[in-house]
Amino acid sequence: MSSFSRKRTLFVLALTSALFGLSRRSFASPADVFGVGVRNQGLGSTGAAVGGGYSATYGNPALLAKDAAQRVAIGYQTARFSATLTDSQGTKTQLSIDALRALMFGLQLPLPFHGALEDRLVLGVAAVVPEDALARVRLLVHQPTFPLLGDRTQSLNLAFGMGVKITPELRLGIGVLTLAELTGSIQVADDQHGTLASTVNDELKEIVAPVVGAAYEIGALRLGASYRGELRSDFDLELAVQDASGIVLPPLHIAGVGQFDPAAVQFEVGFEQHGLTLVSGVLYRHWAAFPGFLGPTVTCPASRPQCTALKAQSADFHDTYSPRLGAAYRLPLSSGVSAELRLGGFFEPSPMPRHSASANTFDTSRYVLTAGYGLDFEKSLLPLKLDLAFQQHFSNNREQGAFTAHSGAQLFSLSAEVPF
Amino acid sequence: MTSRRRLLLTALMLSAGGAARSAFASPVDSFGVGARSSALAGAVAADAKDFSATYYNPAELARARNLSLSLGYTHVAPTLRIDGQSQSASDVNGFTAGLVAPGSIATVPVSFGLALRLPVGHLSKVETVQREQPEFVLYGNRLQLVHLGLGVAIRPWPWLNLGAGLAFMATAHGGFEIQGTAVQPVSGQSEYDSQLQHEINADLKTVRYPTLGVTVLPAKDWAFALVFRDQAAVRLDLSTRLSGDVDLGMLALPTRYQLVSQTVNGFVPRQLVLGGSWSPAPGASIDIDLSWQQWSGYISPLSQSQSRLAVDSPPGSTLTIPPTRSATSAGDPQFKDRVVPRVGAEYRAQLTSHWSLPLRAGYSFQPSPAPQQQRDTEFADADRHTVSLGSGLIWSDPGEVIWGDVGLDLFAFETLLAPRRFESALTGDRYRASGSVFGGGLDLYLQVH
Repeated sequence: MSSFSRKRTLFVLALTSALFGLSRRSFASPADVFGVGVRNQGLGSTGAAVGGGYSATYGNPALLAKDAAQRVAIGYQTARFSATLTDSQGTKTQLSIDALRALMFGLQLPLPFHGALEDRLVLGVAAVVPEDALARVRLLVHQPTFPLLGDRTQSLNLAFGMGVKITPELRLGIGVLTLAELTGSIQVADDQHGTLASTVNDELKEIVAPVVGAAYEIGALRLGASYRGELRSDFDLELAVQDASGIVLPPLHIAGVGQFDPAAVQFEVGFEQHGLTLVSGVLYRHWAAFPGFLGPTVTCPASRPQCTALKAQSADFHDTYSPRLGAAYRLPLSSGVSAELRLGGFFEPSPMPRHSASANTFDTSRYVLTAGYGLDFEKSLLPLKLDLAFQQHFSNNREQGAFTAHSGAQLFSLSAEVPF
Repeated sequence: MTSRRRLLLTALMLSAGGAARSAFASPVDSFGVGARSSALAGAVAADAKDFSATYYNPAELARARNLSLSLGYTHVAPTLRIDGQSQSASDVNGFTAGLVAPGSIATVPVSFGLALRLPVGHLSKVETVQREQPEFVLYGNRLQLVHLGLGVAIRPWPWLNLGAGLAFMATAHGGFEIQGTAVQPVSGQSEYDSQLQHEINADLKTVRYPTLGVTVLPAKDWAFALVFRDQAAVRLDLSTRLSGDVDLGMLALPTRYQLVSQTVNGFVPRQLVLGGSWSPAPGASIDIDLSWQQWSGYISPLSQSQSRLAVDSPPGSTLTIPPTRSATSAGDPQFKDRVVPRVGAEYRAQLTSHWSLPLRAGYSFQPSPAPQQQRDTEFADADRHTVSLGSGLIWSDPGEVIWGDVGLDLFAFETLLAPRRFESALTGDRYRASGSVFGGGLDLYLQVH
C-alpha cells in the first residue's frame, strides 16, 4: 500500500471512529456563562473584536468575514460547579449542581461569489449542545438553588450568522440565536363514563433572537461591537379542571422562565501584531428585563381583580457590566507549526439583589481567570488547529438573606478545527 | 368521599398522566424532505443530489461538487375518515432549510450537510391519544415535529462514498409540584383566593438516531446504495406531586397526591434501504428503492401510569378515599414490519444554454404496519399509495457574480389510503378507515462554485 493510500485509509478509519463515537453522545454550549469558542474562552471570554471562525457567529458575526477559509470545528467542554450556603450558626450546606458536559460544533462557509461579491460573504454555524438536556427548567421554591450558575448552563446554544466585508477595514454581521419553549394546556373533566379524563395539547415552540455586529480595523487596532437580543424560554402549561367531581379549582398556570439570556451589548478594543494579541472590553447585560422565575399559579380574573391568590415574586434584577481582558502570544515551534499561549480574566457581577424576593434563590458575583493554549499545524497535510482552554470562577462570600452564599466553577474545553 | 368531594388534585395528576398520552414520529419519515426528493417519491437512496441526502443517504453528500444552500416550504393536508366521517387531522406545514458544503481534508473529498424541517409555529405538538375511539395514530400531530439532520460524507475512492448522519427529535421531560390550599367557593370565598404555588423540574431533551450510508458507483451511469437508519423512541417519564389542603370553609382536608407516568411519545422504526439509480442519458435518471422498516418495534403511545391519593380525613368522617390507581399497561400494539418500494424518474430538459427544465415523477407503496385485530387499542391505519410529480426551473451561470445554478423546484403528491375494515377490540363494532393526503411545496436553491 502506498503512503498516500495508507494515509487515506487511516483517515477514513479515524473519521468513521469519530462518527460512531459522536452518535453515542449528546452535545451543546452555555455561551452566556463561558463564551463560545475555545480560543475566546481562554482569552477572558472575549470575542467581539478579535478572533473569528465559527465562534464569531455568537460573539460578533462581523468577524466571520475576517477569514475566507472554509472550516469545520468540533469540540467538547465540561464544567463543574460548587455552591455553598452558610447559615447564621456557621453550618455549611453544600448544594449539588449537575456538571455540564457539552459538545461544540462549528462551521464557517465563505460564499464563493465572484465579481463585486468575491470574498465578501461568509456564513457561520455554531452549536453548543449540553449532554444532559437542551434546556433545563428547574424552578424550585422550597429548596435553595443557584439558578444562574448551574442549571442555566444546561441549555442549547445554536447560532446562525453571516458576515459581510464592506471595505478592507469595515465588516458587518447579522445572525440569529435559537432556543425552544414549551406552552400548552391540559383540560380535565368527567368523561362520558363518569370518570376523570384529560385532554392535553402542548407545543414546543422555537424562539429566536437577533445578533448583529460590526468590526473596524485601524492598522493593528481592532474595534468590535455586537448586540445580542434577549433569548427567553418559557414553560407555560395551563390546567383547566371542569366539574371534576364537583371540586372547584381556578385555572392553574404552571409557568415560569426556564432559560433567560438577557439582551447584551459587547464592546471591545483589540490589538494584533507580530503574534501578540491584546483585547479588552465590556459586556453589558440587560438583566433588569428578567421577569422572575415563576409566574403566579392562580391569576385573578377580570371579574375579581382583587382576589387574594398568591402573586408572582418579582426578581428585581439589575443590569450588569462585565469587564473583560485577554492577551495571547504566538510563537513558532517548527516549520509550519506554531503555538499560542493565552491568558485572560473577567468580572461577572451578579444581577440578583442582595435581598432577593425569593428566600431560596442565591447568586454571587464571580471573578474569572482564564488560560488557553493553541497549536496550529498550518502547513501539514492535515492543517489542524488544536485549542485548549481553562476557566476558574471564584467568588467572595455574599450575605444574602439569612445565609452567606459562595459559589464557583471550573471549565475545561478543547476543540479541533480544520479547513476543508 | 362523595363524588362532590373527590379531590381535584387527583384530576390534576391524572391530567399529567394524560399529558403523556401522545404519539408522533418524524414527518420526514412520512413525507420526505426536499422538493426534488419528494417529487421522486423518496426513491433517492442512490440519487440524492441535495441537502436531503442527510436523511436519505448521507453518503450521497460526497457527490456534491458545489456549495449548495436551499430554502423551502411544504404543505401537507391529510383527509382521514372513519366510516366516512372526517377525523380531526391538522395540516402539516413547515419550512425547510438545507446546506451542503463540499471540500477536502488531507486530499480526501469530504462534504458536510445540514437539513432542517421546521413546523410552522412550533417544534413539536402533542395531543392526547384516546384509548376508546379509533384514531389514526400514525398521522396528525406525530407529524408536527422538528427534524434536524446533520451529515458528513467522504469519498476515499472515486467509486465509493461513505456517509454518516445524526437526526434529532425534541421532547420535554419532567414534572411539577403544586402546594398550598385550594379554596372552595363557599361562605363567601372564591376559588381565586386559593393559596397555591407551583414548582417546575423539567428538561427539554433530544433523542438522536444515526444514519449510515454507502454508495457504490461501479460505472459512470450506475449507482447502488445501502442505508441503515436506527430506531428512535422518545420516552417520557413524568412524576408529579400535589400536597396541600382543600378548604371547604368549615373543614380543611390535608391531601397528598402522587402520579407516576411513563410513555413513548415518538417513534421512528429501524430501517434498511437498498437503492439503485441508472442514468440512461445525460440529465435523465431512473431510481428504485426498497426499504425494510421494523415497525414490529413500535411502542404504544398510550401511557402507563400509577397514582396514589391520601387524605387525612377527620375522626369519625365517612369520607371515602378513591383507591390507588394501579399501573395501567399500554400493551403491545403488535405492529408488523413492512417493505416499502419506491420508484422515481427524472429528466432535465435543456431549454437554452442558460435555462433548463427538470421533470420528475414517482410512486411508492407503503403497506400499513397496523394489525387488523387489536387488543385494548383502536389504532386505525391503511395501505398507502402515493403518486408524486415535480418540476421547476434552473438558471445556470446567471451572471458574473454567481457561477453555478439558481433553481426552483416544485412538487406535489397525492396519497390514497386504501379503505380498510377493522373490528373494534373494545366494542366489537366494525368500522372502515380510509382517506387521502395531499401535499406540495417548493425549494429555492443556490449552487455555487
